[in-house]
Amino acid sequence: MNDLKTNKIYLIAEKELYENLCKKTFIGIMLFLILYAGYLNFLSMEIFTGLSAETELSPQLIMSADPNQGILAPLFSNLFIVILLIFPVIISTSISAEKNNNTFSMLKLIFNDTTIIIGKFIAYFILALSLFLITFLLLIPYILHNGFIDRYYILNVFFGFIIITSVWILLSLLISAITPLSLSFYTIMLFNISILLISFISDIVNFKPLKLLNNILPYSFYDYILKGIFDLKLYTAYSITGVFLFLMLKSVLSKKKYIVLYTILYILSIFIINLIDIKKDVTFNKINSLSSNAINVLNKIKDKDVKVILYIKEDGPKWQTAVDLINTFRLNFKNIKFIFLEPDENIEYGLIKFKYKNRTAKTLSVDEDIFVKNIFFVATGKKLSMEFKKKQIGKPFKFTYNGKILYLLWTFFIVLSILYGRKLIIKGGIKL
Amino acid sequence: MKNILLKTEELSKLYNSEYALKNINISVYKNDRIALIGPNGAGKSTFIKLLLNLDTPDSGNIIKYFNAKISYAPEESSLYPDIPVAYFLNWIKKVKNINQNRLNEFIKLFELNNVLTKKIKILSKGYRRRILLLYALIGNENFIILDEPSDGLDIEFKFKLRDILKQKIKNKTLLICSHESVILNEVVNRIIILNRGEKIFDDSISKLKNKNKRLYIEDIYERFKNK
Repeated sequence: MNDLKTNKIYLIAEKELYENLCKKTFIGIMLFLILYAGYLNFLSMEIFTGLSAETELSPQLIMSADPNQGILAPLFSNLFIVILLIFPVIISTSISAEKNNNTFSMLKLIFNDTTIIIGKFIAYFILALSLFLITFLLLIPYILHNGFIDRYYILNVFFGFIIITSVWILLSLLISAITPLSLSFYTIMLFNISILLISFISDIVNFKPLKLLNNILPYSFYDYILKGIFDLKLYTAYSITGVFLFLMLKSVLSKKKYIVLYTILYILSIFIINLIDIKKDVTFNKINSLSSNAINVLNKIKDKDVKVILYIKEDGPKWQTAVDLINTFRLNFKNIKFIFLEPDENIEYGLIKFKYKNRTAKTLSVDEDIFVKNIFFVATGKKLSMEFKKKQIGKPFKFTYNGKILYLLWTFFIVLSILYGRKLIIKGGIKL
Repeated sequence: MKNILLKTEELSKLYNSEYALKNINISVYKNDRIALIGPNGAGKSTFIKLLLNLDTPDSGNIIKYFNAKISYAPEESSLYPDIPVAYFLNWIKKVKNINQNRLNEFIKLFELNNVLTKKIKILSKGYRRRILLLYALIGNENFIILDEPSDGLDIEFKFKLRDILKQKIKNKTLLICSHESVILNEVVNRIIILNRGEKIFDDSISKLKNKNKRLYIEDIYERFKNK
């Protein structure tokens, strides 16, 4: 109704942030999560000490002995779970409580819908970003000791975190806007449980639509991110989802009926985005890629469509090792097609056939070296004598007794700083 | 037309196929001081919701003639329960773009000095009402809507509210949903009565008053009970 509504987004953001900081339950949950992350990091560093002490790493150990996978992934995985499970619960009452308290009608007289949405979004985004920063601060003892951190891996985690967080905040705000206060919490919980169940069931039940659905859920996205893979398709799809949710939220608040139009446009854009197939291994150790020797060799046969048939049952023995290995091929070589077939009575379980035109080769080993040699052989008819293995880069990590004491002190220092900072902010806010 | 601020034309709203408001035509003029009254279910809240653009009418229009900047204090609100009063007042200052002197003046006027550091959730209903009223009245808006403004206030503060509305809130248009005789007799100059979604009276309050007698809501209801 008012023409002269203010667009001071920061006023909404400031109020929302301050309100959350004043809630004892909110700060209690946050501190618990930070301490839990600290404990998890402590545990990872201890396990990693043992793993990195191994001088000769078996291929199966390479993933877990990689500093990204051993130290960073568990810690940031905890952060993603907080964002996906706990954050929506905190945001669930943001709009519904305002509607219930009639403060929303007061806000709407002063601020336009876009300002309210963006203001609230920024407040929760700042809170999420603070959690990211705190998680990063927990890593400082590790960085100081190790003298190195995989910056591209961290950057990928950071951007993935930004995208997933943005989408999840907007989704939570949308649920908060369309449900009454008494139902917002339960709706969010039901939603959380549903996607957890999809993720869980799709792992144990071989049902294609469920697996496809699981692939677009954020658990798969952050799994990619934590492995150190930049997947442009997922980044684009989630960015578009964020824009779609923002428009839906705006429609709901302003009671405009563009919901059907936005949904059609969204589904269409997702179909187009599905055509994108650009993935990059951003890890320093190139843990998700083939060794550089293998890449050089396979680049020479990029124009030859080699077929690899694996007689391995889904979720059976060798399945996961085979999938992990195949993913490293798929990242760079689209010309090599992998087919899984159910083994029958005449074929030995675990047999792998390599085929190009009339030439074939067979093996029972799921190993990069053997795969590359066989693929090259069927494509060219030539045998290779060099070895194709990934090397572990980085010095051994040791989490000493003194290091542990320092780490504990550092974690408590972070927690105390948060408590003191909160006190200062609350005190500053009541000065007239 | 010169002083008209807002006008509704054949405004109707249906809930479950029943009229909550039916063909309401009301013109609000600059500096009008209107009491909007009616029994429960008369359509008062629906009318306010439509004026505030919180709901859309099924038919009819609301036309603004000037920059009608509306300020509103709802009938019930626990505001932001977890934040301290002082923070909320500071926030109002920034939101409504007013200076510190005006804020101090209103804190004094609404006697909020002794609750500034307390969280809103521990305040009594009366104090929460005072904050709501401060919120609605402190700004530069030219059209103020107050829904049951005296609800929860003690007798002493009801008289104080009368004085604030009479002396401090000048040159502004007021629309007050209230059955309080202090408000009806000493603050407003026009009365609109709604019943079952229809407007049954809209005129100067003097038309309802018998010679020099105070006006009571019971008398009004008695007079209009058959309409």
